Amino acid sequence: MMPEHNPKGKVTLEDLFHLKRSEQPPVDFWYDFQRELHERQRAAAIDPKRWWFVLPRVFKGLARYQMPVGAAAVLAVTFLSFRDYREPSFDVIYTAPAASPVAAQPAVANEPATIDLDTVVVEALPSDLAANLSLPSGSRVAERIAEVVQQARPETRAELVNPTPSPSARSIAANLAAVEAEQSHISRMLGEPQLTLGKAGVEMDPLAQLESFDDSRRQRLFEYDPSAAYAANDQDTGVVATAKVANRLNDEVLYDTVRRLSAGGDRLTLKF
Amino acid sequence: MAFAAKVLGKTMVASSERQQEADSDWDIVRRVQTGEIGAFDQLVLRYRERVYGVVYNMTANREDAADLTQEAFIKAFQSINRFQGQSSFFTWLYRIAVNSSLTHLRKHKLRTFFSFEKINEDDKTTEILGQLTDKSGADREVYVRELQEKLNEAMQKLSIKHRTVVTLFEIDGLSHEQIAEVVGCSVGTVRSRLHYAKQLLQAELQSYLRS
Repeated sequence: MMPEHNPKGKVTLEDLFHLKRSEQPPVDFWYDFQRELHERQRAAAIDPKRWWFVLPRVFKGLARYQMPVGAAAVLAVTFLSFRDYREPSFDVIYTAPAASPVAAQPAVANEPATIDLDTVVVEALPSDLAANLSLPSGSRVAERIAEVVQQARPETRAELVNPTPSPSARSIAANLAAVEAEQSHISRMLGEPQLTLGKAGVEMDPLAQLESFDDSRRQRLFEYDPSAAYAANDQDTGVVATAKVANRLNDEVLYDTVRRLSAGGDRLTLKF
Repeated sequence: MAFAAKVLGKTMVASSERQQEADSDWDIVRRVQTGEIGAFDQLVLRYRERVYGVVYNMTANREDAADLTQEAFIKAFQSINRFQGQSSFFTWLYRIAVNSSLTHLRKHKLRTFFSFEKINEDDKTTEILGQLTDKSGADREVYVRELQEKLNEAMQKLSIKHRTVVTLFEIDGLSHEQIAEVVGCSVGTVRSRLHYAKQLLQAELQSYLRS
């Protein structure tokens, strides 16, 4: 607790500042001060400057270029962000079959990931691979593996039946199986024909790659040969065709069609 | 009118003295820069009391003040080769000292421990103290101590920026322009801070002041 002040008289603020100015250390204080200062000066001279002490000076020098430096930094960060967050592409390229199977080449950086399916099959050759990947015995991947093994030259086959598959081969084969399963599922949903992989070493007609269908109706449609049908029809083309057209365009049918279809105002009516 | 002339004359004399001092400082600085390290002691001897006074009135702690004053001189010595004479040496040195003090005060904001220097009594001081008290002997000592505490308390109630301006102007006697250079703000800001700080101090020390 501060004791009460009982000033006899009053002074100015300047007088109080003068009192503050009079607060001075004794003379011997300066002797010690000088001695300590010299010691610290020597210690500072011995102690090497750290590299980060220079940073404020460097940034001070850059202060005049803050706009261009800032813009460049923003651009760099943006560029790096886009590069890092770009989704990887999985373009599967169906390459022409090679004369002999070769080892898969590592993908070059910054190029879209490509998979040479023939190479993939060759890499996935180990005998126990199918079992390891738990591929179904009747699956196309397994069949393709067997085919390529049969077609490969003896020395290559010896290499191919390597009991220790590389991890990349395993993962690629697994991905391939997954892609193929997905493709067949989607094709079934869309009712489209499926594309199968080309045989190594054999040029194939794209149409020949169409596989058999579960749906018999679509199978018949694809088995239908229009050129044969045209050839068969060539004999009686003139008479039969004219008769058919005339038959279809008789007056009654035309009248009936016009009667059943009527348009009025904003309506179109169809009678059955 | 007479007062204005007196003030103007004092300012001109002070300005002339400052200029001579600045020229002399620059000579010493160039000697230090050329490798005559011992010449730096002349600068220390010339400015140690004033730098110490500024730091002491900002921190209100004699140990911290001694430490920070030494630090300011060491920093100045280490950076003296970069000093190009664009401002006067004492302004540059003050800036180092003030910045060190500000950093220290911000770092130890919560730690407020005062330790005071003794008031050196001269004629003017004796007269002022005589106006404030008629006590003598030990009672007078106690009274002066309490007065010191009260003055320092009032100073510490000011913000760091206001305290710096008051210290540099009222205690060290720097001009508004010099303070602006040391603190790194405009002259108008210095005047504004000074006016505001004086108002606060007058309110705090009302019991001692004439109305």
